[in-house]
Amino acid sequence: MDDAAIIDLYWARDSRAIGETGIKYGVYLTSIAMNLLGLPEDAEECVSDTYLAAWNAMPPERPGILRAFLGKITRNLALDRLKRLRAKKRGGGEPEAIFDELSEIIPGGDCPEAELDRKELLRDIEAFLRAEPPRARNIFLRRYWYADSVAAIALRYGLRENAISAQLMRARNKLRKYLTERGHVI
Amino acid sequence: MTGEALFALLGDLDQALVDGAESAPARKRARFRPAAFVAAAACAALAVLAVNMGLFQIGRNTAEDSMSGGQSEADMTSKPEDVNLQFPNAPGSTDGGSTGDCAESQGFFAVITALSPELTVAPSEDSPLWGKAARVVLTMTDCAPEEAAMPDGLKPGETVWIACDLDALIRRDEATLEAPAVYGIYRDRASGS
Repeated sequence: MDDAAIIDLYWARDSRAIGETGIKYGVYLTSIAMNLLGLPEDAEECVSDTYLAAWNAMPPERPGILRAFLGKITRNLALDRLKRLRAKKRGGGEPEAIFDELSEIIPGGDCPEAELDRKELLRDIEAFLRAEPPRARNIFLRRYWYADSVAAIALRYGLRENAISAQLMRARNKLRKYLTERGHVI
Repeated sequence: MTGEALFALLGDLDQALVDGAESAPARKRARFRPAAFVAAAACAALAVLAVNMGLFQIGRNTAEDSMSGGQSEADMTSKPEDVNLQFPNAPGSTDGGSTGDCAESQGFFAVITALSPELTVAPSEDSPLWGKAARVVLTMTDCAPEEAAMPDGLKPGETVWIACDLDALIRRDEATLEAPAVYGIYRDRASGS
């Protein structure tokens, strides 16, 4: 079923919408949740919560790219769940490594609280990524949006793990320099 | 800003950008070009002819050793480490399939047989592929060029031809070819030393 038809089911409040979403995007969403949470049962609950959130969001939402829309919900829910798990001293592993890597980009400073500052930072990061070659951009996003392991990215692109790690390090350094020039890093 | 905060912020990236990383083909696929296929046959024949005639060989092995991928003991001890053969994206490299490229291939003359046991190649979609021969730029990995032992006077960055098992080459984005899958390395007559 195509995305427009699935969205129509949500708008018609037809419960088949959830089944069709699961058929088409269940594996994709589970992989995002698994990357962050690590345990199948946590990931499964997270994906179920995604379906509920999508049900509550559509209508009024009519996403342009359903896959990305659902992926974002799963990512946010998984991140919230991860925070709770970390408070209970659970979690760790891949997300910790990813957070460590990202902490190099804007070290020291606090998270911008003003919505305007956040939007400006996000806009600059998007501009940076758009200017990157497609493969470099996609490898960055696989790691820092999808939370893929370095091994998984290496397998996906048919490269060695150390080549992926080196490429990610170059991208982080470049992004840091880019954000420094725009006043986001002091 | 903590890494976790930045990770959370990245969740709001433009969805089209994010979806691009999911929808983009993970590995490049070599396209089939009928014209390139015909040219490949001619170039492969030339490569085999050059090797069989034993002409212009500058490696230490015999032409037979070269075609079978074999290496003498002397070559095994002097083989270069991690010779990385990458397809050219350099300005002036031409797309596969034109007769001009094929004519250019007639100039290769040198057979280099001191190969590394493993050769990595990274074909790109616009690289000329000629059935049993591919045009590549020699680059080194994991060591500085000045530390590297290139076979028989080849220089990092030099553009050469390799005769190889194309099937093995195009199956993977970064294929690791066993030495027997690479039959020889050829240098253009015009650029030969």
